[in-house]
Amino acid sequence: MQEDRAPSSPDDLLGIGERLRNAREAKGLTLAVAETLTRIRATYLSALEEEQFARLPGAVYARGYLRTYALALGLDPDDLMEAYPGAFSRSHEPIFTSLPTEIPIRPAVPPSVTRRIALYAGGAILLVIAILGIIGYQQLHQFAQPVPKPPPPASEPPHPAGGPAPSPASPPQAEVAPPAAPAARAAIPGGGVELTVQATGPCWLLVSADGEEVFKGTVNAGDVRVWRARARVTVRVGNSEAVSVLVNGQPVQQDPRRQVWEETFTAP
Amino acid sequence: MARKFLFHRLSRNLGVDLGTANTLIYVQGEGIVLREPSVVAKRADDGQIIAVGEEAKRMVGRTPGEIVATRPLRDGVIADFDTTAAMLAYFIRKGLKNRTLLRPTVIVGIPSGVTGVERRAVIDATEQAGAREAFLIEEPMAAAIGAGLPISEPVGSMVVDIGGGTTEVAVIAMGGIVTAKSIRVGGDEMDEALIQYCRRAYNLLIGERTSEEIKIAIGSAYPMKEEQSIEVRGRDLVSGLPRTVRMTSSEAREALAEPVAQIVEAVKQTLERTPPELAADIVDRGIVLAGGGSLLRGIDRLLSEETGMPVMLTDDPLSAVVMGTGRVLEEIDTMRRVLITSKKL
Repeated sequence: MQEDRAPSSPDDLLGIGERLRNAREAKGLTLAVAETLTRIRATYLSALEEEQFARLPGAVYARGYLRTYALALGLDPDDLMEAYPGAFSRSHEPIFTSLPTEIPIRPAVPPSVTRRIALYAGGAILLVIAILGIIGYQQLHQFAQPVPKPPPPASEPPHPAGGPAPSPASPPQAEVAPPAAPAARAAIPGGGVELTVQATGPCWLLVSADGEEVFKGTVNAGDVRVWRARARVTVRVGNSEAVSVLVNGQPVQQDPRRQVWEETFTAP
Repeated sequence: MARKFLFHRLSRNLGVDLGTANTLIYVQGEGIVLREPSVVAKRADDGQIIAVGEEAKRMVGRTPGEIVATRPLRDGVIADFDTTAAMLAYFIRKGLKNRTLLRPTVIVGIPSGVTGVERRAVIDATEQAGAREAFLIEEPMAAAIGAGLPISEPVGSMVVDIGGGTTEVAVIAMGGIVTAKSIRVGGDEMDEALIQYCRRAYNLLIGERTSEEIKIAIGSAYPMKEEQSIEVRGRDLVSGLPRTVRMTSSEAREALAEPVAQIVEAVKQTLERTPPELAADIVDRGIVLAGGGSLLRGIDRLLSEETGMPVMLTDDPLSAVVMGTGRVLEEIDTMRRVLITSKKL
């Protein structure tokens, strides 16, 4: 009976779906029975019978199902496969097709160890640079500050300072002893030091009171300037001949040969 | 870009199925150019190679004392490094017919269950054999690609590649192997089982070639409609004289039952370890067989009975792996993710 349905029957003109169905019905099988026989899903078997090859999972499986089903029904699988070569030939599409995406997918990876180390190293370098910068700035300040602060008061002993006499009544004495003590001493009411400069011509002056610069500039003929300090006063005179300097009312005498001099006077 | 184009023109890239039983070579743009047994005949005293491939296979078991015909691969891995490299070099030269300017990039299929050392050996042997660069691909992956399975889709596919030395069972989805099992049972094991059977049942000693012939002629895994028989010639163990016996296919099936059962077991074990979603896909679609061992009659039927799933053979089971390596060569830029490079070892 099977032999009657053998490949070279008038069935050849029919499509493979019909040939499969005819063969199955001739054997008196339902799709469910065919499923248990072939282990192929009934949906796929019916897809073969209805020639809806798109419902099959792929060319490999389609060929396998057709072969298995045909053999189970006693048909020649090669004969059937030839009927629809296109339906069972494998595709030549690339295996991995990348879908066109608008936004590129990038991994959100945590920073790698090397990157973190580089970050730390960069931070450390910046920190070192900052520290060095601060130190350097401070050093510059230290070098810059001593400039306006000349040597301590008692460093110019040979200067012919004003009357060193402790008593206020000896101007001629002072003249007699020009290279004497640096500071003229005469008490003034309220204590401290009072510096008076009377100018008879233009003269450049630098006056510091208690270490602070209070005047720097030129005085002109006829000017009388007075500065007070609690502890000491330093004066630098640019043109000795053009000024007469008084400390606490006592004139300060200088060596006439020296045009420029500097002196510090302290409070008595 | 131009450099790449130049390389494509000047060097022909190769896909190699370095199998225990047979080596196949696919040349990019040409197809399969070589299909020869992985056999080397060499002189025993100085190790000089006399013949490789088909020629050497005819010598297996028929050589005089000073010549040994060996198979440099055993159980899917390199057993004799230098001989393998020499054999591969010969095959590559033969496949390319000596007409390349640059050395080729070669993709070699390897069993999935091998160790890093064994993989390293294949890369080294391939580079020694004249490859500019050697990539490896796991055989089940190559077989699945060669069979045309939808490996890049989020759908599970099961492929069983029964080779000469190993059987690879793998579930593949999204371009990677999800679960795999590699057992060192294959065609060789079947041949060995037939040799043992003949010795036990008929007191007959037969060689590897004869047992392979029996397997190809009448071997089966599932009862067939019409049973066949074959004349087996060998040496009688008792008398020591040559003798001929007639072996039926049911006897052969009995002899092959043990290795076949191991293959079925490997498939079942892999299914047990498959994630349920993929297992559902496999139940729905079925299992695809590849490799020379799948030509054993009725093995698809037996696996189908044992697992309750449809089982089908690829069109050309013997060349599924090499076709897969060839397909990877053609699409090497997108397929790098399935390859094993020396860096990834």
